[in-house]
Amino acid sequence: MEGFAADRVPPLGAGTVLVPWPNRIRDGIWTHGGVRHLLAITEPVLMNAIHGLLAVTAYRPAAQSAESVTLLATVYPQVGYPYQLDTTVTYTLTADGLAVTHTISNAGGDDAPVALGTHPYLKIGDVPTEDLVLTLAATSHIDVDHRLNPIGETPVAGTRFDLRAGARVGDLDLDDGFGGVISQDGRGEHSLTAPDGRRVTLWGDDNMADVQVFTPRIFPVRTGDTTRLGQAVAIEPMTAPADAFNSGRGLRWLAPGEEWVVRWGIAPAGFAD
Amino acid sequence: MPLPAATGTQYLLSMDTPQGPATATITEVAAGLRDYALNGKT
Repeated sequence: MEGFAADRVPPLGAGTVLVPWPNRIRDGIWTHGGVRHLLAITEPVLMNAIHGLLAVTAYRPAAQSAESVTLLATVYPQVGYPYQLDTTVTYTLTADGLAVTHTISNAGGDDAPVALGTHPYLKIGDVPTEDLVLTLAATSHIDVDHRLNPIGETPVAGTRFDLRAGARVGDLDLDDGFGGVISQDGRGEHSLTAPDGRRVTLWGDDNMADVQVFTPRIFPVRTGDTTRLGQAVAIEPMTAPADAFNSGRGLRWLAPGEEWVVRWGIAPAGFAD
Repeated sequence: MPLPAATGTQYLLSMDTPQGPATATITEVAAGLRDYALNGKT
């Protein structure tokens, strides 16, 4: 995957955990039960609240072994989100790749709205990202306005957003949400494939019914010891699309004391010598 | 073992897999997945 130097903050959200909402909330405003909640605007250019409340939080270690680490963080009640959540994320190396497990527990006294996403930029060795083929197991495209907030949803069949058969990343210019992730045996799978056949699959459990694809051309791409601005591709599995706090789509309401578990991972193939 | 870094503590994971040695680096900031590599290649 696209890593980043240890002395840099995650560029363009790389690798971060997006809780209690992924993607955007229009104007940072959401309403429930007649109460209007005002969140901080964290995407000033587009005037949205983006990527939840833990984007700059320092997680605490809970457990660690050679192959696995569990980190935890608390979402405290605050303006715009008057709920308390205890969250953990466990990264585990396995024979098949990297498995990630999230837990979110409602530690407050009221039902709490939650959604989750992640933001990995995948790559395959030094193969230029432009030359990778992206295959996306999604059946609908989330149509958005100029501030990237949803205004509709369209089946991808017959459109340029149908990536089920694959498309070269260099031909894509996306910051787009997709819905209707196709699940087989409890997993939805999206992939990048190199010209030499190596493949990296990003899988999500059935909670990850949505996915955002972001193909910026200004990512600090590392090749060997050098870094240059170039194209990267983030495949962001999400449990809900943008603005879910207002639409309710994909939004999970946790009762006090209830815990929710979400899993995803990265599975490489064809890398053996 | 955790390593100090400007972005906070990092956690280094490693494992031998059928496709070669795998490593991952996790930062404490946003529990970020900083790197995942197979056979030393990210």
